[in-house]
Amino acid sequence: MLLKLALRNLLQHRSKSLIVGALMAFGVTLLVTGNSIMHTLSTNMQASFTQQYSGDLFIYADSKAIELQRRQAKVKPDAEKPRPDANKAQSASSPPEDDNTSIFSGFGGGTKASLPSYGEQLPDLSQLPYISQLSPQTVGFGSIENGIGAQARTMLWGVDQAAWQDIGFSQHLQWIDGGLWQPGSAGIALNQSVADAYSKSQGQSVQVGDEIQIAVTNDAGTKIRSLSISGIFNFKTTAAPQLGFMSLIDLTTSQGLFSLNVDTSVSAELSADDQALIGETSESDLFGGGLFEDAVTNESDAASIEAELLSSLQVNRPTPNQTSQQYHFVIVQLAPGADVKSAQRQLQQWIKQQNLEWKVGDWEQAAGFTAQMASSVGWVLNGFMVLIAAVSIIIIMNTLVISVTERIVEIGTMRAMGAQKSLVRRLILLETLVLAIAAGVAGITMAAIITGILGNTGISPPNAFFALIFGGEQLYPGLSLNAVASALGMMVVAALVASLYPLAIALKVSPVTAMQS
Amino acid sequence: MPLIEFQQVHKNYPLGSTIVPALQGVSFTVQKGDFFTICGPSGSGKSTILNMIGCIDTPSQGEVVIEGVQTSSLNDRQITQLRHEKLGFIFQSFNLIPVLNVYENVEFPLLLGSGKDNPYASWSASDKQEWVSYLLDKVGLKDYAQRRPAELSGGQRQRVAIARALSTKPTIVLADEPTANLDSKTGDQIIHLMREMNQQLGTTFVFSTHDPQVLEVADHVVKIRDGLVEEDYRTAGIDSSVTDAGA
Repeated sequence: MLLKLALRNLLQHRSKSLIVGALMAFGVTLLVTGNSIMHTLSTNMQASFTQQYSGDLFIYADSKAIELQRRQAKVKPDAEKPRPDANKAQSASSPPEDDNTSIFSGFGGGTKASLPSYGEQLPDLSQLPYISQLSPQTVGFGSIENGIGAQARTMLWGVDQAAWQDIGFSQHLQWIDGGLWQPGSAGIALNQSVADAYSKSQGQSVQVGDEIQIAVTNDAGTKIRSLSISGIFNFKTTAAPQLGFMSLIDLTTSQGLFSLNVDTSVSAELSADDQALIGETSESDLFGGGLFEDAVTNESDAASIEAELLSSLQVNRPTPNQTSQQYHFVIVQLAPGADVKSAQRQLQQWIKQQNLEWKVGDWEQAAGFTAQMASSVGWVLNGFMVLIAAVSIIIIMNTLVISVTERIVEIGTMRAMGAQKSLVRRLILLETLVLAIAAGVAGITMAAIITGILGNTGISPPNAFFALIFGGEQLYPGLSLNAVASALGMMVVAALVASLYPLAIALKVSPVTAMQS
Repeated sequence: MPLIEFQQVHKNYPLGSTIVPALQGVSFTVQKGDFFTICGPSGSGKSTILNMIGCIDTPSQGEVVIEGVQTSSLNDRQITQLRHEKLGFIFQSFNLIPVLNVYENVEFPLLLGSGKDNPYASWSASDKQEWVSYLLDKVGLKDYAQRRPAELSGGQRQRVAIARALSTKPTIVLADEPTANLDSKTGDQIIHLMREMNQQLGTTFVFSTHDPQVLEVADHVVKIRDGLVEEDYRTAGIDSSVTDAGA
């Protein structure tokens, strides 16, 4: 009977029901559509990042703990080496800092930022049930040069060719020419934008097979290596601007460039001519004679000297079997079906148990600025939704107050006939809930139609900012069940909150009002 | 034991800084089965007495006792339950629920109250249907069961209100000027209908009215003026006594 009464009351006061219902439905439509778009965006971004380069999780060094340990060792060189967990506890007791380490930042090269004890822990780490693949990597800035003035900056990503392929990242590269270097050999694959900049700098197109020098300057000095270009590529989806600047390099070479091969000795093997040059050259040969006599005035002499230098550099290439176990971070791909948050917690627990100075980040942290931007957009959208909800509550409340006031005699009559206050409460709440659910369903239906249309036509990014968030492509949103459930829940809560004041009025109605009518 | 007992009831209403005495020591009793009328001019205290019998209002002083229960000792929930089980109301403006049809309006009081408080919750659907149909037949509206109040005349609406007031088989039916919004002929029909219900079902009817037609059929009359009982008498066949509050 109460449901019948509630439905008929809503129909009886059709105009008010329509106003309130339409407002609720509009709010639900906005909420579901907006959240569905954000969900698609987030899902796409996550897939884009995790499938292309960030993996599900990444492990990196706890620089703070390591630094503390290093300082303590300097102050008390003869003292017992402090336990890592003591450093971690000390670093934890310091004022907390936001850890903004991402794959693109926080690594400056040099042994300071390398992941300690990775080689020792690798057998146990790879046995963890929720881990499917591991890909140790290095990252840092460098420049590619030809030694005669042409230069282009690039971010270098040192990867193990086999691990990179196994983890599936290689299938998200679009090869313009060539490919990755052969397993067991050294090489570099240039990002097309980097190749273009270098081509422009040297005045001619760079080709696969060209020899280039890669120079990296860090705390340990400047390191130069010579490599052959194995390929030129693009990432299929540009989910982060940094990707357009990223070139891939074999792991061993990158370790040398970033001074991460301190546990192996890489000696230069000089050719016989170079050794003869060093052995036979005397001081008088170097400094004898007039200041400007025997000077190189012939360009061809200069070119031959440079050619000799270049050829000598080729033998200074570390061989792959000298790869050290020092890396900047390790990409973790989880086993199918593993929950990312749960796996992250378990891995952190394992790291703690092993007393390692490691940290674990998820894809959002790995992605850095781009994910933060997307998250900010989500927060702005939700803030906007909260504002709409607040305004809706006020309007709904006012409409319900009018409706209750018009029915004061009816309510008083019910109370006179013996209706308890609980029945009046149930009646008002039932009317509000029926209206909220009906409006919610209408709003969800409208949102489904809108997202369906947008899912077919796609949303073009209106500006560069959104192009970045979208990943440079059109966005094809799909209806998110989470968005539907949360919007419906929010609308029901908003309706119930809006009904509190009208309910208070209704419950105060005395049977006397019926008698006085 | 009298069904209703007023024991030196006073009622004062604050009006700004003034206290307005609505009732000043009213005492009377009503027996079971009475067709009882409270009459007097406007502002005499009729509605106040009716509100107190209906447990809608409480005395400032004195006691109102209904079937031996002092209403001042009850909390809101208990009073509401008392109204549901023992009282029926007929209002001057009918006060039917506009979105329910005639049948549903009469049935409505049977559905009030929570399961444990509602003595009619145990009635089967067929029992309820039989009883509601009987009442509609008694008030002459069997063929109007599916109509909404807006589709009925004033007299028909009041008949529905009478049937509704009787649906819970109350001990007492309170009627606050039930014929005020009806023409004389219709009003006469309504009064006689209620008298018929009173005699057939044994339900005590309590009226607040200044309609002379009601006085003609009443068998117990209390006349009130300025919050004081002027006369209290029973009509033909029953010893009458005149009570002067000043005497």
